[in-house]
This record gives sequence, C-alpha cells and structure tokens, in this order.
Amino acid sequence: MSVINHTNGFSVAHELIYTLKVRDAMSRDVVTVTPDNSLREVQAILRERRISGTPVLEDGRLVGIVSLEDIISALDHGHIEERVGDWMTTNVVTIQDNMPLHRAVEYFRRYRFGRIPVLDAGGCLCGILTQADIVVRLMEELNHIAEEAARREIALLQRAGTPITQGQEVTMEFPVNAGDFDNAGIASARIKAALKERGIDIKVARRAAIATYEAETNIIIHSIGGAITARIGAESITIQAVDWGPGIEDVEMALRPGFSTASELVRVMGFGAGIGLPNIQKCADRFHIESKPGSGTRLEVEIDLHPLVSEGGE
Amino acid sequence: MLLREVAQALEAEEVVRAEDPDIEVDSAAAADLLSDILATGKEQFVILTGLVSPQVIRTAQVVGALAVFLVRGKHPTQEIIGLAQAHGIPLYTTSLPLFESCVRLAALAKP
Repeated sequence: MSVINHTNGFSVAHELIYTLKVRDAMSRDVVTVTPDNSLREVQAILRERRISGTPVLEDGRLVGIVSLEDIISALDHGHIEERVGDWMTTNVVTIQDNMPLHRAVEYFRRYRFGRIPVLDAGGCLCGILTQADIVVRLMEELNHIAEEAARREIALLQRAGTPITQGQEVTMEFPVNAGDFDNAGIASARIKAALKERGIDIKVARRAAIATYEAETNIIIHSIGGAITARIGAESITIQAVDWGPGIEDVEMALRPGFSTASELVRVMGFGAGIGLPNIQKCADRFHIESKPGSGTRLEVEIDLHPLVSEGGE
Repeated sequence: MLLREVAQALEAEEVVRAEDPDIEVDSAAAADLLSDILATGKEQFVILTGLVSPQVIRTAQVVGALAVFLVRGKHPTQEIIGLAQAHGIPLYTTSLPLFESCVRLAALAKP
C-alpha cells in the first residue's frame, strides 16, 4: 500500500477517502447463500469464487454472514455438514452505500473484519466491501489524476503559441503570467518541438529551449507579467522575452553568475541560483538585454540555426 | 551503461515506464537546483534530483534528459507522473540519497 503511505501521495489519497463513497469502491457482484445451505456448500462456494466470506440472505434480507474462519471452525469441530443458519454470525456490522470511504476504513480498523456488507437506503444488500476494494479504487483514482494531468499538458502544448507564418518566418507568441509556475516550460517545449519539426539540429533546439525556459521562469519569478515571442527564420531563431516591470536595478550585477534576488520560496522550487541570465547568455549567439527600474525588461536572444562548426558538449 | 542498468544500480522503482530501457546512458546530472541542470552541457544523460516538482519534468524535457530519478525516497505527485507521461520521460524513484546514487553510478560507469 505504498501509494497511500508516501508523503506526497498521502494528501491526495487522504482527500480521496473523504470524497469517494462506499458505493464507488464496493463490489456489486455479491455472492450470497441462504440459512438453509450447508457449511460444506459454503466451503465449496468460497473456494470456487476465491472469496473469504459471504453474506447470508433470507427472502432478500440480510440475516447473517459466514466467513472462512467459520468454515475452518466447522471442520475442526465436526459440524461442516450442518445448516448455515445455525452457525452464522447474526450480529452483522453493515455500512451504507452513501457513506464516505473513510468511514469504511475506520470500520476495518475497529472491527478487523475481512469484508463489510453494504446496504442501500432501503436497507437492502447492494454490495460488499473489502480493504482490497478500497486500495484498488484509490489506485484507479490516483491513476486517473495522473492521466488527467497528462491530457491537460498535451492539450496545453497543442494550444499554446499557434505559429503564424509570414513568408519564410514563423512567429509564435506566449503570454507569461507572474507566479504561474504551472505553465513554466510550455513556451520552451513548443519552440523546441517547432525546431525539431523543421529538422534543426537537436543541440541547437536544446539551446533555444534552455534560453526560452530560463527567460520564462525569469518573467514568472521576477516580473509582474510579460510575454515570450519566438521568430524562426531561415538562418536563425530570435527569442524575445518582454515584461512590464518592475525592471532590473543593476543589469551588470544580474548577469554575474551567482547573483540572485529570488525569494526563499523560489529557491525551494529549484530556481533562483543566480545562473539564469548567464545561462541564457551561454546559449545565445547574440544576446541583448535592456532594463530600467520602474519600467520593464526586454531580452533578446538570437541563435543561429545552422552553425558552421559542430558543437561539443562541456 | 544502459538505462535499465542505471535503474538496477540505484535500486529504483519505475513510476513512468521507459519505452526503451536499453538506451545508452553516458552521464548523469545530479542537482537539486534546476538551473544547474539547465546549465549542463551533457548529452545522453539522466537527471538525479531530490527536488520533487512539475518543473523537474519540464526541465528534463527542455534539456532532453533520458530519464529522471527522484532520490532520498521522494515520491512524485500524480501531476508530476502525468507530466512525465505526457512528455514521454521515464520516471524513477530510489530510496538512496543523492551522494550514494552518484557513487553507485560512478562504479557502474567504470567497471
């Protein structure tokens, strides 16, 4: 059950057991017996269906429950051929189908049952719940959240920065909002994909993506908002990162590796090491920045798409 | 070394499946700072990090990392798993700390 024990997974799973209902997790296909069945018959049913207990119904009403332990005890004490009605547990703990799952978890903890019969609003048996059912349901729900996130990301990537073609030049524009870390990296992913589609060398595409990503995060972290514009021409790509303020006090200082004005929160997220701008500069063939406190910052990076010399790694 | 050998050496659990576990890995970038990873000139590399955020996946996508290994027993959120799936980036977790992970990879790289 590592899914619900991990710190990060815990909060989600924890939330889920409060929002999901018993009926969302229970098995509806319930195997039942009657008081007139013999315990021997129940033993065969449990073996066949690979279950460890079954509710006992009389005229559609729940009157008891028989478990594997009852069968073992019957074998031990020699009453395996006798009626279920004489040996079943009659004091059955049940749960309503509209209860939140956390209630069921509490029941399992308190009573240590293997299964709990589930009743609908009319008091009729409508399902049965085991701890395994809860785990399976939580797993499904967690997977669903991941799938949703994947779908959202793919939709975002398809929608963002629709390319506008003008002659040989393609322009893509991406608004970037202050503090919007969720969308950091969308522009760079799109620009990288666009360059790859054009058959541009992967190292060049990577440099463009890194410069864009650093510029995106700069706008998100430091500014009140701005935009990234990429112009892909025949020979080069120009990435413009423009924001509306507050501007950089000392541009020269900001270009120094290690200098950072980022908050502790930003640093916890893995940014703000003070190498963003120097890194952009490293990726660029041509680099220009202008900024004034009180107004915005304008950064322009140009990268040649077909460098003459092959590039080596560090 | 192959990606699956890296995963084995790190006793890692695969969270988002690698399409090609036999892909050749030359190197690793180990950092808790994304900017450090972005500044690397490495190729054919995996990321080892103790940082758990969606930005780790976006960073991996930008730099073209082959896989992400979350160290120190950190577990990704479902959102992070979804992002890794969307970008086709294999995602692993290991209970080993960052330093121990690096030591193991160094041993694997130089038999």
